[in-house]
Amino acid sequence: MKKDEKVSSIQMLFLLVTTVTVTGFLFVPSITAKFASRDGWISVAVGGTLFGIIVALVCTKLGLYYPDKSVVEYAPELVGRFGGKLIGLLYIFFFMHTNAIIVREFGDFLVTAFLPETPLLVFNSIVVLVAAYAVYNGMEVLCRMNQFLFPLFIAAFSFIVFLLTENISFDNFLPLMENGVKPVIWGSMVPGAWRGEILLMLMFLPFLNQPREAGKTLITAVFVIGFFLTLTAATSIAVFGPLLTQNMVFPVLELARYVSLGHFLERLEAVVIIVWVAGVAVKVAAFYLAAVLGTAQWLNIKDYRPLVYPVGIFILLYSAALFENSRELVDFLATVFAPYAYFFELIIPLGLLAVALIRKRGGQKQ
Amino acid sequence: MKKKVIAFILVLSVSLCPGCWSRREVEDLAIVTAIGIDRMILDGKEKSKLSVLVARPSQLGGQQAKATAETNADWLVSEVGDTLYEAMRKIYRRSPRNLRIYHNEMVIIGEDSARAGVQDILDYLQRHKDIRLRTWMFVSRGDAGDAMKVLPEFENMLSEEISEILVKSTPAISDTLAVDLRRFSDALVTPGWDAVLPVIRTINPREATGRKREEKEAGQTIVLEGLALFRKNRLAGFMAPEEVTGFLYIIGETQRGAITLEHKSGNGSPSQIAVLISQASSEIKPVFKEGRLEMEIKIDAEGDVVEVQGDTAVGSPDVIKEMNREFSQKVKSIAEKSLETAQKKFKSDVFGFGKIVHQKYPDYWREVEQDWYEIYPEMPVTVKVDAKIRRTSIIADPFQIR
Amino acid sequence: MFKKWKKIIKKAFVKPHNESQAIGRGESKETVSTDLDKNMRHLKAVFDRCTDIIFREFEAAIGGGVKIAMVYIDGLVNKEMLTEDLVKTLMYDVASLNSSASVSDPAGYLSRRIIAFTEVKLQDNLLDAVNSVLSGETVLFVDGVSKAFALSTQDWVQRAVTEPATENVVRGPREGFTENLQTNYTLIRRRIKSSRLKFETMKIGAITKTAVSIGYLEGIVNNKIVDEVRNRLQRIDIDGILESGYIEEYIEDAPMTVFPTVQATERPDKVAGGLLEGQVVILVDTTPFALLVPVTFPQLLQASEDYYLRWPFASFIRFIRFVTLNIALLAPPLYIAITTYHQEMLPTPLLISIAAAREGVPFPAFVEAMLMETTFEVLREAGVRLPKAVGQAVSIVGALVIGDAAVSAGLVSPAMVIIVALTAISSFSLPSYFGAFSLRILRFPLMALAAALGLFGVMAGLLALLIHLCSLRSFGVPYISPLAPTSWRDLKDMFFRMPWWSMFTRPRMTGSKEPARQDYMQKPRPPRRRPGGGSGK
Repeated sequence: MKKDEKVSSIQMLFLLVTTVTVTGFLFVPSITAKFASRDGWISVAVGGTLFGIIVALVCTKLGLYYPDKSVVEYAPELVGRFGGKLIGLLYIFFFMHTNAIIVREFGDFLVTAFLPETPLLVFNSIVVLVAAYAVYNGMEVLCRMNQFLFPLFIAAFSFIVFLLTENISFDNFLPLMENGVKPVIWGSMVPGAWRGEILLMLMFLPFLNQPREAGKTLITAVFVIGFFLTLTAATSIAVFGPLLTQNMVFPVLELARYVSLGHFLERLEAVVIIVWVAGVAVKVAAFYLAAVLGTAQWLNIKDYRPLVYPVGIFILLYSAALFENSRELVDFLATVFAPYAYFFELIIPLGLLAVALIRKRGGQKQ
Repeated sequence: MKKKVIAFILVLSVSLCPGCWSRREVEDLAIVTAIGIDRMILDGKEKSKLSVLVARPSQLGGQQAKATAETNADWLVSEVGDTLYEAMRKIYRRSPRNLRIYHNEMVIIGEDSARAGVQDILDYLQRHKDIRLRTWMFVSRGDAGDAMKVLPEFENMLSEEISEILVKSTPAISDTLAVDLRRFSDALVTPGWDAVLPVIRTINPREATGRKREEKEAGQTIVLEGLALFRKNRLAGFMAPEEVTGFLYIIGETQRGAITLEHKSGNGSPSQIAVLISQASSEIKPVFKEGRLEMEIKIDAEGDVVEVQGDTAVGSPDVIKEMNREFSQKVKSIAEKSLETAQKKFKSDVFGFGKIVHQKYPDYWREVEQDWYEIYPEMPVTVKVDAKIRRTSIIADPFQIR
Repeated sequence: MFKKWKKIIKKAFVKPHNESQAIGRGESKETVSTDLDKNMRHLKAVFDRCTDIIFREFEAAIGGGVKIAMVYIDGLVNKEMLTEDLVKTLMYDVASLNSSASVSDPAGYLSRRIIAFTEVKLQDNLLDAVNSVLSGETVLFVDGVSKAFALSTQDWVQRAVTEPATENVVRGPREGFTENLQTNYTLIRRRIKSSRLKFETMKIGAITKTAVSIGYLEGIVNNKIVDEVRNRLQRIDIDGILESGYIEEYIEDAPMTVFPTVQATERPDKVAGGLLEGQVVILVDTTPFALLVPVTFPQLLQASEDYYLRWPFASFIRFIRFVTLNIALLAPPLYIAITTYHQEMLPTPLLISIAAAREGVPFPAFVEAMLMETTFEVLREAGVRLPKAVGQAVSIVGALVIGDAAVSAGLVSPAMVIIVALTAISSFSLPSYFGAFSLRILRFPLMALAAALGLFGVMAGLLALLIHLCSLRSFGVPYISPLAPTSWRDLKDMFFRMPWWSMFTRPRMTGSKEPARQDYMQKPRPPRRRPGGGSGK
């Protein structure tokens, strides 16, 4: 295990923002619009952010007890060998499963919107292959690559939003909270789960060159992610209205397709999709790295590299076997995913933190 | 090393061997530029008729292009099927190239089809990934397929001609409104808001038309004017061009329309004054008066005098003040005329009054949403206009020969 | 499987090229004897069948005619100087010296008083003497003295300092390195007149014994990098070094990449600039190309002229270069991807005219592009290899073949010609010829990916490329370093070239030891009152 690899807080921030936003902004607007209709953006902005901050605080607090270890390594120390290993295994499974879902989302999206005649497996295997290459080269390379791409993501995002300003009508937000707060809260479950993906920090904290700044990094990440996701959700509601939005599978894609620059540059969604592909590669690589690192630590292997290819093949096969059709995937994301993710993002870390607090009380505080 | 070689071979095989699924060379494409949708009864069964205009590249560009071509620059082909998709597939039987509709600029819905309801058409248009929300939508008087038979006068392709008229010319006259698929669908799905579409009509103009001038009989030409008003799912009726100007005033989307005022100065005969609108905006406010919902519409307009027929001294500020009153009166009258047509005659809420009520009074809206179409035609609407003449173009008083 | 092969290969080619065996036939350890004849016998045996070695024996006019022999290589020494300053002096002029006094240290006496040369080395060992002869020195043996005198008489035909062939500038010095190491030292030293400029020389190549020199500015350079360079150079075990390219391949961090992680340059001003930023230069004798390490990818896009032009122009040129970099790499793949997969991206009229132009072209866009790109690469290679007089003819044929005939014969479409021409021009506009090479190679796999998977394939290829670039290091410095990891300070000299007075610091990666390049607040502030007085009129 290459513990000497170090990344800066800003690199970690970028990595987390890319990781969460890139799939979030594809699915979240339509799912929240389904629950909260025209108030979907409030769900994303307020509910998701609140949940994200809680996860950030818990993860940081927990991680800082062991600033040079990942959750898979310190869980056995906290709750005993058997329980700890079990928790480690659960997390490894969570990372692999989530990654398989991401890969599937990616492939499904490209087949639906981009090259419909190409088999799903081609997209999936290529993105896993690219991610494997990144993982093989380690955390530093992954962060550097993301840092290089980040301005590109911002550019593509602004491209969509700014060119659509003339089509935005703020009337679509009215009336605010027509049906009370309840739908808004329900709507915020899914964006909350997405925001909670910053729990990757449980695995990546040892890579930070200044672990003290982890909390600040995470909370900044939550706000930056919140900004982007809210902007996306709000833009699609403002442009298409809540009723069209909630029936679209990928509102952001529709936004990109709707962009027109003086009736000359139109239909440029391919460019946006391509930039998005780069983002997904980063996300897949991040979860992939977490899974591989976790497995190596769980098995007490020094170097994780031999595991890269087996884990990759597992993720690839799993992603192909997960869902029957594309609606099943969206349905999973809208209903099952939130409680499932909450379990890993909040409940387990909270439990571990409680144990840590009890154990360490009066003990040394680093 | 060995691993890298294997990985490299894997990458190559994955990416190259099975590749090229969606590959199409540009010369193998039939680029659809316009789609027409009609409904017809065949053997007592309702069928959909799809007509498409396909560009012929060899007639249009590149070195081999011949300006005086034997064939038309676009190819019109129609087929009938149970579903629109089936009709589209049937066209493949006749097309040597792959039909691609991502460059499609417009969809023309035939009058019959629109009267029968557009829900299924909308499903087809929305679901098809290559049809964009920026596609221009039209309703044709008569069959869409017939309208598409017309030869373009000026541009190479009919679709180009229609979209250029729509985008470049209609804003200058404000007697129709460009509506794309997004706006059309948004209006259809939003409760309390009905859709409008611009109307395509074919005419036999008095002057010569067509590619070859002597073929006057065959030559017809298209004209864009007026709006088709929908009520929920169905076409309810047509609004004349003059009323469309009023409609645009009310929804605040007038761009450069012209209005003719009558001004009576002193004892002379009234003179006709043409005013070009330079700016207009509106505000629609629902108010409750004695427990009854009313709409208050306030229109602000500005215009320039562009023509004077008669001897009104439009250079004098006092005259302009009088004209402002007449200007306001005129705008008010055409706005009311359009209200009359939409609200009373066709009972179609194209102004989005219901949507505004929803935004302002969500609780009240919940009560009336079900029977909005009963309330709407009876709802009193007051129009207030504040219109002003700003300039008199580059001369002041009318041109006079003494 | 591979391991087995390695063993076999090792057995077959075991050849410890021991220098002493090759030359001295086991007598190499022999010291210089007092007996002149014995020495000469030995040398003559060593230089058996070497017709260009001259042995000259004569008697000096002192000590009653001491026998003296000199050995040198014809053509490597300045004969005039030898005759005037050595032979004449010894045969005639020294006669006037008081030669009766007995000398306790004849070798020292000779070198101090008699041999009138600026550089004289005393050598005990015959092997050293042989090496001295081979490197162009004249070796003198004196009967009765157990030392050899190596005189620096090197003077051979060499090329004058001319304008470099690869990196031309409009503004800036016109000097380029030559094949002569000494000249190259001079070219650098004249730019940096500081005692901190160090050159360490070593000989690499068991047979060629090529002088290789590491140059750096002490105090600015990171010593770890110098040590690393020294170590890597010392590890080289090869029979001969004919060009700095040999060295380059031995000291690279990543041998399996298409990107150069060592920068080769012909420009002394570029080397001087690099030294001032903490880079290390490797000079190789007989090569006009110096090697600069560590180098980052963005540096390959910078020309020395960027620093001589005024900064707005330089920044603009850099911007253009980033554009051309992308065109050179991506224009053909994007053309293939868009015209065969994503036709919707093209504006309708453009799509129709491309379709019209391709009407009747027999090949798919990919084959067409491959055809044209290959033709172009062939033409370029032919242009480099052919004699200058024929080069003209080739370019005319190329222009006709690519530009006109292929299109009118209907083999390729005019659009493709435009793309190829654009790519070609763009790849020439990159300042580093060797950096442009890597783009030329990468273009082809990207084209294949574009043909297989459209833009998705291009992006996958680019991502792999990006990961690869991120994983590269040049002597410990990340290859795309001012970008990722980001150093805002260094970005001043990356996309833009900020004014000189605003670049206070040296690059963080190489110049962190003494970061300050200059004083702050040097922005020119013109005085309120114009010099020369008066009020304008």
